[in-house]
Amino acid sequence: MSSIDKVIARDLAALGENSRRDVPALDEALRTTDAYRDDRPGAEARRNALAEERRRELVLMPLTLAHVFAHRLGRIAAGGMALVVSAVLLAMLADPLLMRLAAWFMPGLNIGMLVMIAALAIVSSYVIASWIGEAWFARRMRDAIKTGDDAYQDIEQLAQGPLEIAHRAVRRLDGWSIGVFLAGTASVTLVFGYTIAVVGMNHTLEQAWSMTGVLAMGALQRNVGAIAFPVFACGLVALYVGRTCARDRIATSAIVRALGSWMALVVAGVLGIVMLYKAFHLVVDFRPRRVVEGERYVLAMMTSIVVFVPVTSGLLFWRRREQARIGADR
Amino acid sequence: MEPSHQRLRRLLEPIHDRALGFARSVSKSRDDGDDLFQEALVRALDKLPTLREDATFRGWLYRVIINLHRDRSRRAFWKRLIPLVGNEVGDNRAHDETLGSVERARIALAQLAPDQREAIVLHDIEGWAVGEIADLEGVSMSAIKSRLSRGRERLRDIYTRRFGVRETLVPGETT
Repeated sequence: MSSIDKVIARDLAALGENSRRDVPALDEALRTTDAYRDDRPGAEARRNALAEERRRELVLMPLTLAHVFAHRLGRIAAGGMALVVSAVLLAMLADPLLMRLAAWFMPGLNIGMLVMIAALAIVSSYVIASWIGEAWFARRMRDAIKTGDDAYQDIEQLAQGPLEIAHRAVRRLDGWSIGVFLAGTASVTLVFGYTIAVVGMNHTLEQAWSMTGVLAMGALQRNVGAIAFPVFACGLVALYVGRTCARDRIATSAIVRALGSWMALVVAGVLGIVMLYKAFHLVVDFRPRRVVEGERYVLAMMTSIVVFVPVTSGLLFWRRREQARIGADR
Repeated sequence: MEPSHQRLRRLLEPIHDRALGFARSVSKSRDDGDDLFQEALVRALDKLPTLREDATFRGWLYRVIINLHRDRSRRAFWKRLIPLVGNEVGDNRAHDETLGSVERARIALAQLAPDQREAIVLHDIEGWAVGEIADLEGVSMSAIKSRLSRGRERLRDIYTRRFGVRETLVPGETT
Protein backbone atom coordinates (compact mmCIF):
# COMPACT_ATOMS: atom_id res chain seq x y z
CA MET A 1 0.00 0.00 0.00
CA SER A 2 1.44 3.35 -1.02
CA SER A 3 1.63 6.29 1.33
CA ILE A 4 -1.22 8.04 -0.56
CA ASP A 5 -3.40 4.98 -0.11
CA LYS A 6 -2.64 5.02 3.58
CA VAL A 7 -3.60 8.68 3.83
CA ILE A 8 -6.84 7.95 1.96
CA ALA A 9 -7.61 4.93 4.16
CA ARG A 10 -6.97 7.01 7.27
CA ASP A 11 -9.18 9.84 6.02
CA LEU A 12 -11.99 7.44 5.08
CA ALA A 13 -11.80 5.80 8.51
CA ALA A 14 -11.99 9.25 10.12
CA LEU A 15 -14.97 10.08 7.95
CA GLY A 16 -16.72 6.85 8.95
CA GLU A 17 -16.07 7.52 12.61
CA ASN A 18 -17.27 11.10 12.27
CA SER A 19 -20.45 9.98 10.50
CA ARG A 20 -21.36 7.61 13.30
CA ARG A 21 -20.80 10.27 15.96
CA ASP A 22 -23.74 12.19 17.52
CA VAL A 23 -26.30 9.81 16.10
CA PRO A 24 -29.75 10.85 17.35
CA ALA A 25 -31.89 8.32 19.15
CA LEU A 26 -34.08 6.16 17.01
CA ASP A 27 -37.24 7.56 18.59
CA GLU A 28 -36.13 11.03 17.70
CA ALA A 29 -35.56 10.00 14.10
CA LEU A 30 -38.92 8.32 13.82
CA ARG A 31 -40.78 10.58 16.28
CA THR A 32 -42.43 7.38 17.54
CA THR A 33 -45.36 7.42 15.19
CA ASP A 34 -44.56 9.79 12.38
CA ALA A 35 -41.32 10.70 10.73
CA TYR A 36 -42.56 14.29 10.71
CA ARG A 37 -44.75 14.96 13.68
CA ASP A 38 -44.40 18.68 13.03
CA ASP A 39 -44.92 18.61 9.28
CA ARG A 40 -43.89 22.20 8.64
CA PRO A 41 -40.20 21.41 8.07
CA GLY A 42 -41.28 18.67 5.68
CA ALA A 43 -43.65 21.01 3.89
CA GLU A 44 -40.96 23.64 3.62
CA ALA A 45 -38.49 21.11 2.29
CA ARG A 46 -41.04 19.93 -0.27
CA ARG A 47 -41.85 23.52 -1.19
CA ASN A 48 -38.16 24.35 -1.65
CA ALA A 49 -37.53 21.27 -3.76
CA LEU A 50 -40.63 21.96 -5.85
CA ALA A 51 -39.73 25.63 -6.27
CA GLU A 52 -36.27 24.65 -7.45
CA GLU A 53 -37.72 22.18 -9.92
CA ARG A 54 -40.14 24.82 -11.22
CA ARG A 55 -37.37 27.39 -11.59
CA ARG A 56 -35.38 24.89 -13.62
CA GLU A 57 -38.45 24.19 -15.71
CA LEU A 58 -38.85 27.91 -16.37
CA VAL A 59 -35.20 28.31 -17.36
CA LEU A 60 -35.51 25.43 -19.82
CA MET A 61 -38.91 26.52 -21.16
CA PRO A 62 -38.78 27.35 -24.89
CA LEU A 63 -39.20 31.03 -25.71
CA THR A 64 -41.49 30.00 -28.54
CA LEU A 65 -44.34 29.69 -26.06
CA ALA A 66 -44.06 33.36 -25.10
CA HIS A 67 -43.85 34.39 -28.74
CA VAL A 68 -46.86 32.32 -29.77
CA PHE A 69 -48.84 33.64 -26.82
CA ALA A 70 -47.99 37.25 -27.67
CA HIS A 71 -48.80 36.79 -31.36
CA ARG A 72 -52.09 35.09 -30.61
CA LEU A 73 -53.07 37.92 -28.31
CA GLY A 74 -52.00 40.37 -31.02
CA ARG A 75 -54.17 38.57 -33.56
CA ILE A 76 -57.17 38.70 -31.24
CA ALA A 77 -56.65 42.43 -30.70
CA ALA A 78 -56.15 43.09 -34.40
CA GLY A 79 -59.21 41.01 -35.29
CA GLY A 80 -61.26 42.74 -32.63
CA MET A 81 -60.16 46.15 -33.86
CA ALA A 82 -60.99 45.12 -37.44
CA LEU A 83 -64.46 44.12 -36.29
CA VAL A 84 -64.91 47.43 -34.49
CA VAL A 85 -63.69 49.38 -37.52
CA SER A 86 -66.05 47.42 -39.81
CA ALA A 87 -68.97 47.93 -37.46
CA VAL A 88 -68.27 51.67 -37.19
CA LEU A 89 -67.98 52.00 -40.96
CA LEU A 90 -71.17 50.01 -41.48
CA ALA A 91 -72.95 52.23 -38.97
CA MET A 92 -71.64 55.31 -40.73
CA LEU A 93 -72.79 53.95 -44.08
CA ALA A 94 -76.22 53.11 -42.73
CA ASP A 95 -76.66 56.47 -41.05
CA PRO A 96 -75.18 59.36 -43.08
CA LEU A 97 -75.43 61.62 -40.04
CA LEU A 98 -72.61 59.67 -38.37
CA MET A 99 -70.48 59.98 -41.48
CA ARG A 100 -71.13 63.72 -41.61
CA LEU A 101 -70.21 63.92 -37.95
CA ALA A 102 -66.95 62.11 -38.67
CA ALA A 103 -66.30 64.40 -41.64
CA TRP A 104 -66.94 67.37 -39.36
CA PHE A 105 -64.35 66.09 -36.87
CA MET A 106 -61.89 65.31 -39.63
CA PRO A 107 -62.18 67.85 -42.46
CA GLY A 108 -61.47 66.38 -45.87
CA LEU A 109 -62.38 62.84 -44.80
CA ASN A 110 -62.35 60.44 -47.74
CA ILE A 111 -62.11 56.74 -48.40
CA GLY A 112 -58.32 56.78 -48.58
CA MET A 113 -58.16 58.35 -45.13
CA LEU A 114 -60.68 55.86 -43.77
CA VAL A 115 -58.58 52.98 -45.08
CA MET A 116 -55.43 54.48 -43.59
CA ILE A 117 -57.05 55.09 -40.20
CA ALA A 118 -58.44 51.56 -40.15
CA ALA A 119 -55.08 50.04 -41.13
CA LEU A 120 -53.26 52.10 -38.52
CA ALA A 121 -55.74 51.12 -35.80
CA ILE A 122 -55.49 47.43 -36.67
CA VAL A 123 -51.69 47.33 -36.90
CA SER A 124 -51.20 49.35 -33.71
CA SER A 125 -53.66 47.09 -31.89
CA TYR A 126 -51.61 44.10 -32.95
CA VAL A 127 -48.32 45.66 -31.85
CA ILE A 128 -49.60 46.99 -28.52
CA ALA A 129 -51.41 43.74 -27.69
CA SER A 130 -48.26 41.75 -28.48
CA TRP A 131 -46.24 43.91 -26.10
CA ILE A 132 -48.87 43.57 -23.40
CA GLY A 133 -49.01 39.81 -24.06
CA GLU A 134 -45.26 39.39 -23.64
CA ALA A 135 -45.22 41.47 -20.46
CA TRP A 136 -48.19 39.61 -19.03
CA PHE A 137 -46.66 36.26 -19.92
CA ALA A 138 -43.34 37.14 -18.25
CA ARG A 139 -45.14 38.33 -15.11
CA ARG A 140 -47.31 35.20 -15.01
CA MET A 141 -44.24 33.00 -15.29
CA ARG A 142 -42.52 34.90 -12.49
CA ASP A 143 -45.63 34.46 -10.34
CA ALA A 144 -45.66 30.74 -11.14
CA ILE A 145 -42.34 30.20 -9.34
CA LYS A 146 -42.77 32.77 -6.59
CA THR A 147 -42.84 31.52 -3.01
CA GLY A 148 -44.09 33.23 0.12
CA ASP A 149 -44.35 32.62 3.85
CA ASP A 150 -46.98 29.91 3.69
CA ALA A 151 -45.35 26.66 2.59
CA TYR A 152 -48.67 24.87 2.08
CA GLN A 153 -50.05 27.58 -0.14
CA ASP A 154 -46.80 27.59 -2.08
CA ILE A 155 -46.97 23.83 -2.60
CA GLU A 156 -50.49 24.18 -3.89
CA GLN A 157 -49.47 26.98 -6.19
CA LEU A 158 -46.30 25.23 -7.37
CA ALA A 159 -48.26 22.07 -8.18
CA GLN A 160 -48.70 23.59 -11.62
CA GLY A 161 -45.42 24.18 -13.34
CA PRO A 162 -44.74 27.22 -15.54
CA LEU A 163 -44.69 24.97 -18.58
CA GLU A 164 -48.19 23.71 -17.89
CA ILE A 165 -49.46 27.22 -17.17
CA ALA A 166 -47.84 28.54 -20.34
CA HIS A 167 -49.32 25.77 -22.49
CA ARG A 168 -52.74 26.34 -21.00
CA ALA A 169 -52.54 30.09 -21.59
CA VAL A 170 -51.47 29.57 -25.19
CA ARG A 171 -54.19 26.97 -25.73
CA ARG A 172 -56.84 29.25 -24.24
CA LEU A 173 -56.14 31.88 -26.88
CA ASP A 174 -56.10 29.40 -29.74
CA GLY A 175 -59.76 29.51 -30.75
CA TRP A 176 -60.13 33.25 -30.22
CA SER A 177 -57.01 34.04 -32.20
CA ILE A 178 -58.45 32.14 -35.16
CA GLY A 179 -62.12 33.09 -34.89
CA VAL A 180 -61.80 36.79 -34.07
CA PHE A 181 -58.97 37.38 -36.52
CA LEU A 182 -60.83 35.56 -39.26
CA ALA A 183 -64.06 37.46 -38.62
CA GLY A 184 -62.20 40.76 -38.39
CA THR A 185 -60.16 40.24 -41.55
CA ALA A 186 -63.15 39.08 -43.55
CA SER A 187 -65.44 41.88 -42.35
CA VAL A 188 -62.92 44.69 -42.80
CA THR A 189 -62.02 43.47 -46.29
CA LEU A 190 -65.65 43.11 -47.30
CA VAL A 191 -66.82 46.43 -45.88
CA PHE A 192 -63.97 48.45 -47.32
CA GLY A 193 -64.10 46.50 -50.58
CA TYR A 194 -67.80 47.19 -50.79
CA THR A 195 -67.35 50.88 -50.07
CA ILE A 196 -64.59 51.25 -52.62
CA ALA A 197 -66.53 49.27 -55.24
CA VAL A 198 -69.78 51.18 -54.79
CA VAL A 199 -68.02 54.52 -54.74
CA GLY A 200 -66.03 53.45 -57.80
CA MET A 201 -69.18 52.39 -59.63
CA ASN A 202 -71.23 55.48 -58.87
CA HIS A 203 -68.80 58.35 -58.77
CA THR A 204 -66.05 59.92 -60.75
CA LEU A 205 -62.59 60.06 -59.23
CA GLU A 206 -63.05 63.71 -58.19
CA GLN A 207 -66.29 62.92 -56.39
CA ALA A 208 -64.83 59.85 -54.72
CA TRP A 209 -62.38 62.00 -52.79
CA SER A 210 -65.21 63.85 -51.08
CA MET A 211 -67.20 61.91 -48.51
CA THR A 212 -70.06 64.38 -48.53
CA GLY A 213 -70.26 64.12 -52.30
CA VAL A 214 -70.37 60.34 -52.07
CA LEU A 215 -73.05 60.38 -49.42
CA ALA A 216 -75.15 62.84 -51.37
CA MET A 217 -75.90 60.14 -53.93
CA GLY A 218 -76.98 57.64 -51.27
CA ALA A 219 -75.75 54.53 -53.13
CA LEU A 220 -73.83 53.30 -50.11
CA GLN A 221 -76.82 53.59 -47.76
CA ARG A 222 -79.20 51.90 -50.16
CA ASN A 223 -76.95 48.86 -50.63
CA VAL A 224 -75.75 48.45 -47.06
CA GLY A 225 -77.99 45.40 -46.52
CA ALA A 226 -76.14 43.56 -49.28
CA ILE A 227 -72.88 43.84 -47.33
CA ALA A 228 -74.25 43.45 -43.79
CA PHE A 229 -75.58 39.99 -44.63
CA PRO A 230 -72.27 38.44 -45.86
CA VAL A 231 -70.37 40.10 -43.00
CA PHE A 232 -72.75 38.49 -40.56
CA ALA A 233 -72.48 35.12 -42.35
CA CYS A 234 -68.67 35.31 -42.33
CA GLY A 235 -68.74 36.14 -38.61
CA LEU A 236 -70.82 33.05 -37.91
CA VAL A 237 -68.53 30.76 -39.91
CA ALA A 238 -65.46 32.36 -38.29
CA LEU A 239 -66.99 31.68 -34.89
CA TYR A 240 -67.50 28.05 -35.86
CA VAL A 241 -63.91 27.69 -37.16
CA GLY A 242 -62.53 29.28 -33.99
CA ARG A 243 -64.63 27.02 -31.81
CA THR A 244 -63.45 23.95 -33.72
CA CYS A 245 -59.81 25.01 -33.27
CA ALA A 246 -60.34 25.69 -29.55
CA ARG A 247 -61.70 22.18 -29.12
CA ASP A 248 -59.03 20.78 -31.40
CA ARG A 249 -61.60 19.07 -33.60
CA ILE A 250 -60.31 20.14 -36.98
CA ALA A 251 -59.76 16.55 -38.04
CA THR A 252 -63.39 15.67 -37.39
CA SER A 253 -64.97 18.82 -38.80
CA ALA A 254 -65.77 18.44 -42.50
CA ILE A 255 -66.43 22.18 -42.95
CA VAL A 256 -63.11 23.30 -41.49
CA ARG A 257 -61.22 20.60 -43.36
CA ALA A 258 -62.91 21.72 -46.57
CA LEU A 259 -62.07 25.37 -45.88
CA GLY A 260 -58.43 24.50 -45.29
CA SER A 261 -58.07 22.21 -48.32
CA TRP A 262 -56.31 22.99 -51.58
CA MET A 263 -59.52 22.43 -53.51
CA ALA A 264 -61.21 25.28 -51.61
CA LEU A 265 -58.28 27.51 -52.50
CA VAL A 266 -58.63 26.62 -56.17
CA VAL A 267 -62.39 27.30 -56.09
CA ALA A 268 -61.78 30.60 -54.30
CA GLY A 269 -59.13 31.49 -56.89
CA VAL A 270 -61.50 30.84 -59.80
CA LEU A 271 -64.27 32.77 -58.08
CA GLY A 272 -61.79 35.55 -57.40
CA ILE A 273 -60.95 35.86 -61.09
CA VAL A 274 -64.66 35.92 -62.00
CA MET A 275 -65.35 38.52 -59.33
CA LEU A 276 -62.42 40.69 -60.41
CA TYR A 277 -63.70 40.64 -63.98
CA LYS A 278 -67.19 41.45 -62.77
CA ALA A 279 -65.97 44.23 -60.46
CA PHE A 280 -63.91 45.88 -63.19
CA HIS A 281 -66.84 45.58 -65.57
CA LEU A 282 -69.17 47.18 -63.04
CA VAL A 283 -66.81 49.95 -62.07
CA VAL A 284 -65.70 50.89 -65.55
CA ASP A 285 -68.92 50.30 -67.52
CA PHE A 286 -71.48 50.82 -64.83
CA ARG A 287 -75.08 50.27 -65.82
CA PRO A 288 -77.33 50.68 -62.76
CA ARG A 289 -80.11 48.56 -64.22
CA ARG A 290 -77.78 45.59 -64.72
CA VAL A 291 -77.37 44.91 -61.00
CA VAL A 292 -80.67 43.42 -59.99
CA GLU A 293 -81.76 42.88 -56.41
CA GLY A 294 -80.90 39.15 -56.13
CA GLU A 295 -77.65 39.55 -58.02
CA ARG A 296 -76.30 41.98 -55.44
CA TYR A 297 -76.53 39.31 -52.74
CA VAL A 298 -75.01 36.64 -54.95
CA LEU A 299 -72.10 38.93 -55.77
CA ALA A 300 -71.65 39.78 -52.10
CA MET A 301 -71.67 36.13 -51.06
CA MET A 302 -69.22 35.17 -53.80
CA THR A 303 -66.93 37.97 -52.68
CA SER A 304 -67.19 36.70 -49.12
CA ILE A 305 -66.08 33.25 -50.23
CA VAL A 306 -63.19 34.73 -52.22
CA VAL A 307 -62.02 36.62 -49.12
CA PHE A 308 -62.87 34.08 -46.48
CA VAL A 309 -61.39 30.87 -47.89
CA PRO A 310 -57.79 32.01 -48.47
CA VAL A 311 -57.70 33.77 -45.09
CA THR A 312 -59.01 30.63 -43.35
CA SER A 313 -56.58 28.45 -45.22
CA GLY A 314 -53.65 30.71 -44.35
CA LEU A 315 -54.69 30.94 -40.71
CA LEU A 316 -55.09 27.19 -40.35
CA PHE A 317 -51.67 26.67 -41.94
CA TRP A 318 -50.18 29.22 -39.55
CA ARG A 319 -51.88 27.56 -36.61
CA ARG A 320 -50.46 24.15 -37.58
CA ARG A 321 -47.02 25.73 -37.70
CA GLU A 322 -47.49 27.32 -34.29
CA GLN A 323 -48.77 24.10 -32.76
CA ALA A 324 -45.73 22.26 -34.10
CA ARG A 325 -43.40 24.94 -32.72
CA ILE A 326 -44.82 24.72 -29.22
CA GLY A 327 -45.07 20.93 -29.41
CA ALA A 328 -48.84 20.92 -29.01
CA ASP A 329 -49.80 19.19 -32.25
CA ARG A 330 -51.67 16.08 -31.47
CA MET B 1 -51.46 -6.67 11.52
CA GLU B 2 -48.47 -4.68 12.79
CA PRO B 3 -48.68 -0.97 11.88
CA SER B 4 -46.02 0.25 9.46
CA HIS B 5 -44.35 2.65 11.84
CA GLN B 6 -43.98 -0.01 14.53
CA ARG B 7 -42.61 -2.47 12.05
CA LEU B 8 -40.17 0.11 10.75
CA ARG B 9 -39.03 0.92 14.26
CA ARG B 10 -38.45 -2.76 15.05
CA LEU B 11 -36.54 -3.42 11.86
CA LEU B 12 -34.55 -0.21 11.98
CA GLU B 13 -33.37 -0.47 15.57
CA PRO B 14 -30.38 -2.78 14.99
CA ILE B 15 -29.07 -0.94 11.93
CA HIS B 16 -30.10 2.63 12.60
CA ASP B 17 -26.66 3.97 13.56
CA ARG B 18 -24.83 2.34 10.69
CA ALA B 19 -27.45 3.31 8.11
CA LEU B 20 -27.36 6.92 9.27
CA GLY B 21 -23.56 6.77 9.22
CA PHE B 22 -23.65 5.49 5.66
CA ALA B 23 -26.04 8.27 4.60
CA ARG B 24 -23.76 10.86 6.18
CA SER B 25 -20.57 9.40 4.65
CA VAL B 26 -22.00 9.21 1.17
CA SER B 27 -23.33 12.80 1.30
CA LYS B 28 -21.48 16.05 0.91
CA SER B 29 -22.03 17.03 4.53
CA ARG B 30 -23.44 15.67 7.76
CA ASP B 31 -26.52 17.83 7.36
CA ASP B 32 -27.08 16.56 3.84
CA GLY B 33 -26.65 13.03 5.16
CA ASP B 34 -29.22 13.63 7.92
CA ASP B 35 -31.65 15.01 5.33
CA LEU B 36 -31.02 12.05 3.06
CA PHE B 37 -31.61 9.59 5.89
CA GLN B 38 -34.76 11.37 7.01
CA GLU B 39 -36.11 11.36 3.47
CA ALA B 40 -35.21 7.68 3.19
CA LEU B 41 -37.17 6.94 6.36
CA VAL B 42 -40.22 8.75 5.03
CA ARG B 43 -39.99 6.77 1.81
CA ALA B 44 -39.34 3.55 3.72
CA LEU B 45 -42.39 4.15 5.88
CA ASP B 46 -44.43 4.69 2.75
CA LYS B 47 -43.12 1.64 0.90
CA LEU B 48 -42.76 -0.74 3.86
CA PRO B 49 -45.91 -2.73 3.01
CA THR B 50 -44.14 -3.83 -0.19
CA LEU B 51 -41.30 -5.45 1.82
CA ARG B 52 -42.17 -9.12 2.17
CA GLU B 53 -39.21 -10.54 4.09
CA ASP B 54 -38.06 -8.76 7.23
CA ALA B 55 -34.67 -10.42 6.84
CA THR B 56 -33.97 -8.40 3.72
CA PHE B 57 -34.69 -5.09 5.42
CA ARG B 58 -31.08 -3.92 5.66
CA GLY B 59 -30.40 -4.29 1.94
CA TRP B 60 -33.81 -2.82 1.15
CA LEU B 61 -33.23 0.28 3.31
CA TYR B 62 -29.74 0.80 1.90
CA ARG B 63 -31.20 0.55 -1.58
CA VAL B 64 -33.73 3.24 -0.68
CA ILE B 65 -30.89 5.43 0.58
CA ILE B 66 -28.82 4.76 -2.53
CA ASN B 67 -31.72 5.54 -4.88
CA LEU B 68 -32.43 8.79 -3.10
CA HIS B 69 -28.74 9.63 -3.11
CA ARG B 70 -28.63 9.15 -6.89
CA ASP B 71 -31.74 11.29 -7.33
CA ARG B 72 -30.05 14.02 -5.37
CA SER B 73 -26.85 13.66 -7.37
CA ARG B 74 -28.83 14.08 -10.58
CA ARG B 75 -30.52 17.17 -9.16
CA ALA B 76 -27.13 18.49 -8.14
CA PHE B 77 -25.97 18.05 -11.73
CA TRP B 78 -28.79 20.28 -12.95
CA LYS B 79 -28.04 22.77 -10.21
CA ARG B 80 -24.45 23.01 -11.38
CA LEU B 81 -25.54 23.25 -14.99
CA ILE B 82 -28.06 26.02 -14.32
CA PRO B 83 -27.02 27.89 -11.20
CA LEU B 84 -30.14 29.80 -10.19
CA VAL B 85 -29.28 30.83 -6.66
CA GLY B 86 -25.50 30.90 -6.79
CA ASN B 87 -22.97 28.18 -6.10
CA GLU B 88 -23.57 26.29 -2.94
CA VAL B 89 -20.35 24.32 -2.71
CA GLY B 90 -17.27 26.27 -1.75
CA ASP B 91 -14.81 24.55 -4.03
CA ASN B 92 -12.04 26.91 -3.07
CA ARG B 93 -11.62 24.93 0.10
CA ALA B 94 -10.48 22.00 -1.95
CA HIS B 95 -7.18 23.74 -2.67
CA ASP B 96 -6.41 24.11 0.99
CA GLU B 97 -3.67 21.69 1.96
CA THR B 98 -4.34 22.08 5.66
CA LEU B 99 -7.81 20.55 5.66
CA GLY B 100 -8.74 17.98 8.30
CA SER B 101 -9.04 14.31 7.37
CA VAL B 102 -12.81 14.24 7.49
CA GLU B 103 -13.32 17.28 5.34
CA ARG B 104 -10.67 16.14 2.87
CA ALA B 105 -12.30 12.73 2.53
CA ARG B 106 -15.72 14.34 2.02
CA ILE B 107 -14.47 16.69 -0.68
CA ALA B 108 -12.62 13.89 -2.46
CA LEU B 109 -15.60 11.52 -2.31
CA ALA B 110 -17.89 14.24 -3.63
CA GLN B 111 -15.78 14.32 -6.81
CA LEU B 112 -16.50 10.65 -7.57
CA ALA B 113 -19.39 9.30 -9.60
CA PRO B 114 -22.26 8.26 -7.28
CA ASP B 115 -21.82 4.52 -7.93
CA GLN B 116 -18.07 4.69 -7.19
CA ARG B 117 -18.70 6.76 -4.08
CA GLU B 118 -21.27 4.27 -2.79
CA ALA B 119 -18.99 1.31 -3.45
CA ILE B 120 -16.06 2.92 -1.63
CA VAL B 121 -18.15 4.01 1.35
CA LEU B 122 -19.78 0.61 1.68
CA HIS B 123 -16.55 -1.34 1.24
CA ASP B 124 -13.87 0.83 2.80
CA ILE B 125 -15.88 2.58 5.52
CA GLU B 126 -18.83 0.31 6.29
CA GLY B 127 -16.80 -2.85 5.79
CA TRP B 128 -19.19 -4.64 3.44
CA ALA B 129 -17.88 -7.49 1.32
CA VAL B 130 -17.79 -7.08 -2.45
CA GLY B 131 -20.43 -9.81 -2.83
CA GLU B 132 -22.80 -8.02 -0.45
CA ILE B 133 -22.44 -4.77 -2.35
CA ALA B 134 -23.02 -6.59 -5.63
CA ASP B 135 -26.22 -8.11 -4.22
CA LEU B 136 -27.35 -4.72 -2.94
CA GLU B 137 -26.73 -2.93 -6.22
CA GLY B 138 -27.93 -5.82 -8.32
CA VAL B 139 -24.75 -6.00 -10.40
CA SER B 140 -21.90 -8.48 -10.76
CA MET B 141 -18.97 -8.67 -8.38
CA SER B 142 -16.59 -7.69 -11.14
CA ALA B 143 -18.60 -4.52 -11.69
CA ILE B 144 -18.20 -3.60 -8.02
CA LYS B 145 -14.48 -4.39 -8.16
CA SER B 146 -14.18 -2.18 -11.18
CA ARG B 147 -16.02 0.67 -9.42
CA LEU B 148 -13.79 0.31 -6.39
CA SER B 149 -10.67 0.28 -8.50
CA ARG B 150 -11.67 3.30 -10.58
CA GLY B 151 -12.88 5.15 -7.50
CA ARG B 152 -9.62 4.58 -5.66
CA GLU B 153 -7.63 5.63 -8.69
CA ARG B 154 -9.61 8.85 -8.85
CA LEU B 155 -9.17 9.43 -5.11
CA ARG B 156 -5.40 9.06 -5.50
CA ASP B 157 -5.48 11.58 -8.30
CA ILE B 158 -7.53 14.04 -6.25
CA TYR B 159 -5.30 13.67 -3.22
CA THR B 160 -2.21 14.27 -5.32
CA ARG B 161 -3.44 17.15 -7.46
CA ARG B 162 -5.79 19.01 -5.14
CA PHE B 163 -4.52 18.31 -1.69
CA GLY B 164 -0.83 18.14 -2.57
CA VAL B 165 -0.31 14.74 -0.92
CA ARG B 166 2.95 13.32 -2.25
CA GLU B 167 4.13 9.77 -2.46
CA THR B 168 6.78 9.15 0.21
CA LEU B 169 8.89 6.12 0.88
CA VAL B 170 7.74 4.23 3.91
CA PRO B 171 10.57 2.37 5.68
CA GLY B 172 10.58 -1.26 4.64
CA GLU B 173 8.54 -0.65 1.46
CA THR B 174 9.38 0.23 -2.11
CA THR B 175 7.25 2.34 -4.39
